[in-house]
Amino acid sequence: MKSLNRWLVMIIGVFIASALTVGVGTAISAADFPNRPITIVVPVTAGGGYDLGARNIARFLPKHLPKKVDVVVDNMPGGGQLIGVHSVYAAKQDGYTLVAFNAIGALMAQFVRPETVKFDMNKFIFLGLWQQDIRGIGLGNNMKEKTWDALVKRSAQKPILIGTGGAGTGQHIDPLILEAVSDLKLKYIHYDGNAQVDPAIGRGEVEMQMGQVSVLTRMEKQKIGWGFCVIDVNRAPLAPNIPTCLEAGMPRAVYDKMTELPFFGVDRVLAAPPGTDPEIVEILRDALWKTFKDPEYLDGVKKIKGEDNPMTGKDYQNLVGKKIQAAKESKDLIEKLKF
Amino acid sequence: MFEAFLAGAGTVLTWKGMLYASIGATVGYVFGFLPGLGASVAVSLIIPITYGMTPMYAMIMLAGVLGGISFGGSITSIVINTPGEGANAATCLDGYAMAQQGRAGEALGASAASGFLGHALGIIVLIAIIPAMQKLVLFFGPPEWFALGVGGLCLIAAVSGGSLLGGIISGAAGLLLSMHGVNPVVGSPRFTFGQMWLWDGVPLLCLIIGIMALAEMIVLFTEQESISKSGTVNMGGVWSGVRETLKRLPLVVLAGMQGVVIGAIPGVGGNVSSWIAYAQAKAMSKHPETFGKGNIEGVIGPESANDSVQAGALMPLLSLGIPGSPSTAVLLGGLIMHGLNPGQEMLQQNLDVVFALTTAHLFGSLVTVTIGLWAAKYFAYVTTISSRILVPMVSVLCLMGTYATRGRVSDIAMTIIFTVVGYAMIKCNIPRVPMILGLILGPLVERSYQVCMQLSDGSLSIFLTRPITVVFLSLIPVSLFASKIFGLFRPKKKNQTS
Repeated sequence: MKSLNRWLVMIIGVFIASALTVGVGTAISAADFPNRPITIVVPVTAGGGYDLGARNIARFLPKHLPKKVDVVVDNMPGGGQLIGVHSVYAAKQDGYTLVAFNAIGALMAQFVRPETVKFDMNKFIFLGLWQQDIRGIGLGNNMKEKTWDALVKRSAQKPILIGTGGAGTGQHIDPLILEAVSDLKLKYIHYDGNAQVDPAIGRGEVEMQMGQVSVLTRMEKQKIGWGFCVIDVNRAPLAPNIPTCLEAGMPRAVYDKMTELPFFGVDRVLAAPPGTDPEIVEILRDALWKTFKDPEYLDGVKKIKGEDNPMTGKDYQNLVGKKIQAAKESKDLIEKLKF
Repeated sequence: MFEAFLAGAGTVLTWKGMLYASIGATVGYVFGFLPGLGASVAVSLIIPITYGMTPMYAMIMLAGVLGGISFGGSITSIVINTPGEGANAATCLDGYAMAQQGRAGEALGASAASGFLGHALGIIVLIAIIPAMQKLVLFFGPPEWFALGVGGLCLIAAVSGGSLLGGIISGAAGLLLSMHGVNPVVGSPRFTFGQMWLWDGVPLLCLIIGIMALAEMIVLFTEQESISKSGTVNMGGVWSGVRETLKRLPLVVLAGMQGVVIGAIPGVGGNVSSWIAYAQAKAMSKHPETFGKGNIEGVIGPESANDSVQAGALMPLLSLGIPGSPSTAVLLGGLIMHGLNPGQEMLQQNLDVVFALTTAHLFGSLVTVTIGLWAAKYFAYVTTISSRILVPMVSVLCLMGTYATRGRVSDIAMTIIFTVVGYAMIKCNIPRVPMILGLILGPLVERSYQVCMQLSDGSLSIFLTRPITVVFLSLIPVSLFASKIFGLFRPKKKNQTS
């Protein structure tokens, strides 16, 4: 009996010691964070906008962490970014595995194709938004319509041929939303990737595309088309020559409806898995925000033709909550997006 | 323009420029050599190293990587039947057959020489057409891609060996495999059985490594002592391979020109071009019956096209600022991070940078070919290593390569399945290459057809109203009987092995 008690005490002792060690370990890991390289998973192939943005962050984030550790980018493409996003959603909650992705695309997947998604956007811990794309409408050189009314009138005669990088991409969803809230009539031509849309416009095969402002400036520089408008109330710093949609004559009601919808645009965010230690989250959010204000980082943003319109992790967490609420109330739109 | 050329090329040819280009090329060579770790991985890994450099030298180093990558992949194609990238797969057919005959050195020499000549030709064409580059890139649209894809599928006849029925079955299986993944029209997953890892379709590398490399390793392990059936290797063969290439300059030029044109079409690239070059070589050959059995022309054609295609892929980048291939997409990212913006602006205002890029690209190729020719005899020795040692090493290398590309265990599983399928195909005498062609060309044919139908409201007349498409489609029956047609113009000789 005595020996049994001794065993029992020892087992309980080991258990308590282990629990304490884990507890202390957690405390140490937060106090000691970071003490090894941090990985940013980019769920698309190397070379594109997300990849460049994430690499720019990875380059300057170490400067602002309490301890200088490497921040490395790991491209995990596939499934329209869902493979990488799922992988980080289920990753260890220690702050060493983060994901840089398009939150709007993931939100849309959650509501429009719920059968493909095993994450809840509400549970992700957002560390910050590094760029909210300013979207715009670009037209081919054979399109001469300078105002919104002229564009709508032309589309009534014959739907405007719009090129996309594939069904379900941002280049497809944005015009679908625009069509849903206005009288514009479009006919979609889905190419195999965004890189094929510019040549299609150059050949005159399609007449229009929607994308971020840098797409419009690229069209102008390559002399294959021109920027009709940016979807914003202010002109974009990257393309001050391109009018806003309101200046081009788009009714304010159309603009408001479009931008209020939860699935319009592209939000480039950095997030940590659900359940990440709040202290570590604070360290990361603080370092990321300082990075966003770092002049060297901003120089990089300029070089990669990015937008400088960041948002703190806390603010974006709130915004996602609102978008999810709006999505729940947009059943008709969701049905329309099930193309 | 001449001043810009001198300034650009001059920067590359300084000791510093040559050093950076050589470092880039060596990295490219190593990454090309390792199956699965292609140009995109090499460039993306080297980008952080260039952060501290001036944009010009950073670009020289990145261009050096791309210039040096393809020869590394050819070595493994020839020596162990394992292509570094999909574009090297066509080289396996005759390159590996030559290695089995103890002629690995000759095949490597031919690969190095034709690759460099193809590269040089591609760069010369690129520079010559700078003023008209954008027009050339915009020349080919979906109907032309479709015709090209259908023409490519007809190559199944050329690569089926003696078994046309087997080739058609194998090609059809490849086409079926290409249907997995996201439907290009509706954007929803198709034939994925609820598995997200199938959303991006069947990876080409898994198929190639499985049915070609690993299936061959099983045969090697069970039936042979070493890759070289005689257990010896002809060490003097390297220069003989170079000489044989120089004797076949028309083939090098034709395959190279075709490579530049196909490289200029975004999204088509080397995978298609090297197979077309293989068929070209077979059609032009005096001994088409020896293709697949160690004909050196089956190495020269694909290798010339495979290298010139890289120069072609620079055209969309330089004329429109869009990438022509996955590797130029990463290069574009690297250039943008250094504040360089390829496109019309660069062509008009920074022509020296364009010339530096092309010169570094070519210099990278020269560096790897030089290293390759020197090292060829050592690589050729691999074909004499006992299968008991070689097979486990190559198998591990292959499986690591398939995993390294995307970091997915599912890719290893798929490769193992394809290995079993490939071994069964060998035993049943069903040609394996048509399956690869089906997987490569299926998406090109399907997607371009869908775009054509969207553009024409479902009317097939779109294929008859475009002159280039009509010419391409008309050439298909001609190409099927090309070897017979070429044969008519040749004096009759007794059969000789090439």
